[in-house]
Amino acid sequence: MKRKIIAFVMLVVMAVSMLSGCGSAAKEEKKAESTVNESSAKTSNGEEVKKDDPITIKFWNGFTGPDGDQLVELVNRFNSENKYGITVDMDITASLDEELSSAFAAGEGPTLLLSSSAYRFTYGQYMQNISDIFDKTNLNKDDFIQSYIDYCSEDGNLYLVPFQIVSFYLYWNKDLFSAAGLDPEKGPATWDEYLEFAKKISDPSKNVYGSGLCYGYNYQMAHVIQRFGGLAVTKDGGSWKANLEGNSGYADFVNTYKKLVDDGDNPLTDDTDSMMTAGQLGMTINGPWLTGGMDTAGINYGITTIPTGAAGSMNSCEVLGFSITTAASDAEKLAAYRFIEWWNTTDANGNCAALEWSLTNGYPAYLKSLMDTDAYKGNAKVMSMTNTDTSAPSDFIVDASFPGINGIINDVLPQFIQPVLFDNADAAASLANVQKIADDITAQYN
Amino acid sequence: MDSKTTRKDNMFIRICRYFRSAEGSAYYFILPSILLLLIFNVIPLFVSSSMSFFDANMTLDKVNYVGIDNFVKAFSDSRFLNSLKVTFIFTAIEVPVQVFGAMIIAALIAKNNITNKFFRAIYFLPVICSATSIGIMWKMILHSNVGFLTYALSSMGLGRINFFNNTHLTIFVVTFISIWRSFGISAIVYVTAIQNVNASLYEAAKMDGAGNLRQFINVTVPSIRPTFWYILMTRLAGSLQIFDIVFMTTGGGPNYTTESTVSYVYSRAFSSEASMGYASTMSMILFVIIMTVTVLLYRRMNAEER
Amino acid sequence: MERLKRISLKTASFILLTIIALLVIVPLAWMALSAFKEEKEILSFPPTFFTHSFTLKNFANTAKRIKIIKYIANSVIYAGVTTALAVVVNSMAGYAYARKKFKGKGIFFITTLATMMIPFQVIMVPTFLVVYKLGMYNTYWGLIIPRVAVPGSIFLMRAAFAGLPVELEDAARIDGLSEWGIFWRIMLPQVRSSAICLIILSINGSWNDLLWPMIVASDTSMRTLSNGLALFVGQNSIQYGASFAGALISIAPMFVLYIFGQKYFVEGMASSGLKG
Repeated sequence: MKRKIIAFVMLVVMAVSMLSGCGSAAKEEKKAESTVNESSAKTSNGEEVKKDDPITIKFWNGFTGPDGDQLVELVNRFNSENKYGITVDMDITASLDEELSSAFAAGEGPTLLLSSSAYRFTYGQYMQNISDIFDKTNLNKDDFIQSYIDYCSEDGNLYLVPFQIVSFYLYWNKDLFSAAGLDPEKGPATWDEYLEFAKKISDPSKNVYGSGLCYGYNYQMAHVIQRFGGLAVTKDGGSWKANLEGNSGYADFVNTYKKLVDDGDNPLTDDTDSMMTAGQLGMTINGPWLTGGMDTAGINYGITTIPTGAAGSMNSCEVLGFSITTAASDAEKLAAYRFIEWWNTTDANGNCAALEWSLTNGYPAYLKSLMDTDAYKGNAKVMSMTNTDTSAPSDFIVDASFPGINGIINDVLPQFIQPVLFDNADAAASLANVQKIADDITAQYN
Repeated sequence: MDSKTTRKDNMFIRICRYFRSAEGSAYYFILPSILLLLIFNVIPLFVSSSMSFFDANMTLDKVNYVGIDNFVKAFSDSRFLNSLKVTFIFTAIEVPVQVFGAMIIAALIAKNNITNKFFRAIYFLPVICSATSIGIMWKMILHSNVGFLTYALSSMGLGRINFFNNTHLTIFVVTFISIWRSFGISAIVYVTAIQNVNASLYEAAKMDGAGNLRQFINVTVPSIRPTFWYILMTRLAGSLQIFDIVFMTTGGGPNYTTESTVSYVYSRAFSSEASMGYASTMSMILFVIIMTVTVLLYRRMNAEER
Repeated sequence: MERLKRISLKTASFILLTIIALLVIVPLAWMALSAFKEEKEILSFPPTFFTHSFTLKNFANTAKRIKIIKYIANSVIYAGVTTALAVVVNSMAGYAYARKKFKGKGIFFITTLATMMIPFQVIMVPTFLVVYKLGMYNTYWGLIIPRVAVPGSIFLMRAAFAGLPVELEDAARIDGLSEWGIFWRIMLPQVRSSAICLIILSINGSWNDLLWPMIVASDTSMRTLSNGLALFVGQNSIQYGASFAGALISIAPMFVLYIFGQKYFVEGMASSGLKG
């Protein structure tokens, strides 16, 4: 019996060692063939890399979809034109979270990560403090708009460098406006106007709806609802406080939405994008990526900021940024710095990756110097997306430094809105109900 | 040679002989699979089951022992209880359709002729499509507004059916898509089993004057019993873990009426919180439920096959 | 009378089979036709079934965006090697569970089943850590080895072996074949059609596997076709045309494989020794 056990254990050991043997051998072989130059970079691990030492850094992001194409192009351009011998090996993934959490758990990971600045709440311990990027490169801290830098900082330390500013806008279909006898050049400035226009545009016989609010689109809901009732979580005397129960603005929003649906002015659907692109929707609210689809479909549309509601003027946005993970060596970190520097620097020919990205995709600039360029000012799309009211707060749905933002967007708001929409629940009661969920979330950070 | 080595040699020979015998050889037949499952499935399973007693993040490096707090939380979490209900409805529809529906279809297409081969090829098509493409396809076809089928049905005067945004209907739509996607596997596996039934049994039944239906009930069904159990248990495990179709089509909506347990587990682990501990707890509860059903079925299966 | 009944039964079953076939084929045909449509037409109202704006742009886009050949090669390595190993390993186990009595059989089998009862997302990180500790991160072995033993496949083979008559083994044993010889030379060929089923399911599973190749291989040169095709489904916008074109590209090799497999089902039947 004992022998059996011993034999078994030996077999296990053998199998495991065989496997790991195969594994590492294959790994080395692969490394050797994929980047011939990497060995030289490795020997200098931990030290300042000499300018000419070639190095490959891993760059992960979740830019699936059409904008990923442009990212690939720009990264290729960097790889071919940088003088440091840096190769950025980019991996665009549809499951960034899964990839990151596995890799981080094993102490691996990319050098460079591109993600929402809210990732600093989830993966903060794997992000390096990169405050010294302004010393080690020619980037100028004062050129960055401060409120976006704030989004990327924690206790005065910088963890991300802004990459794009995502706001949501109101898009309207000019042809449908004309057909309804409205001025095609003027989008709604207030929510009253929005409701009035929606009513006029809706035409059941043509399957056309005036308003495109979408319960299944949590981010849209969040951007809109804060216009009605302000932020869902704010700081109150040093601790986080959820403002749901008794929030008449939020109740007003959901009742408005429900009335639009009941009156047939808003489709009851979890996907308004395809309707807008198909020309069946008068107005909708979404991020800049919607313009790509509408352009291809030949929709004649206008863009304006989301109408201001009872909660006052706001400029809610999400900041995406570059970060450097703890898996990166100093040499890799420096290489990543150089990539970020290149991204935000205008070269002798006047080309700048950040500017191109911003103009093509319609993201407002975060560099003051870019905002002043003629190319930027001359781009109607980006200009209509740039908020001129700089005094308006840029917090998105919660105070910008509240770590529980994902829970509020993905759990609290849907659980407030959907019971009212589908089960005719009372708005106030539903708010009282989700207040408990929100309190659990805030309690984690108090 | 002293007696000690002889004894040892004897023992060695005996062991060798045992492993070559009909009974002992079973161990080396199962060894590779057991080894692989142990390393890559059982160990991780233990890790994640122990996580259910911790407050752990996604990367499992910030762990805090919380005892049974997570379990208490789960049983008072209405969304979790709702997800169990949703999962139960999915399973209650999907499993019988897959187990019995596919069996009947398989019986109809089991004979090897050109029409049947054609049907088999068609039924297998959804199986080879990825969940992602199936999800997008159905989402577009059944879109509340611009969907092709929605439009076709309404032009036929059947009214505009809001397939994906109806708290009563959508769960059945998702179940349908899930069945649509995988009933081909069940049918083909049944076909294989039916074809393997000893032909002499049919001859004997025919001699007794049994018609097609009699033959099916008296010969086919008993002969393919092992396959029946295979389909039943794998489909049961699959349905109770339904995730990707939900993820690709409704995301759990409307109003959480299609949020399955694994969908909820996923959102706890990744999309809205990063609490692997709580996600593990809920998975463990689901695991215990599935395991209980499986063990009961396994007993039944063994009793029957004996 | 009897003949009339039989004919009407046949018609009824044919109608049923046709309805199901239509349910399967109509959506897929819509998807296939849409792969040749301009994006604008896919998202138009009223929606179209047949292609009005025929274009190959979607396929060109797919080819431009991802290294199709490289990705297909990776998918073939991943699916091919996994399946080759899976057939042997899972058949062996299925054979033992179906035909042999041994101590601990119940425990082993239940454990095997238990491993398919837990959502992958939950054991993902621990599984990854095991692979990592074994030094298989970023290797083809890391992709393949953990995917070889599949409880479902073991069960499938168990079901296949369980249906064979006892006399078969006994005769071989009298002939003096070793236990391995009985399995490999006598029993396995008997369940050839189930083995082909397993092969198809295993290839198919690896072919469409999205998550595992993504987390185990961080090296972009090891990406599989399904990873590549996932790029057209953005977080915020979906490229429908390119997605559908990609789906067609991905389905085609599987479908050819299936048609071949089906041919072997039949041959497996004809050559099996104990029939008739």
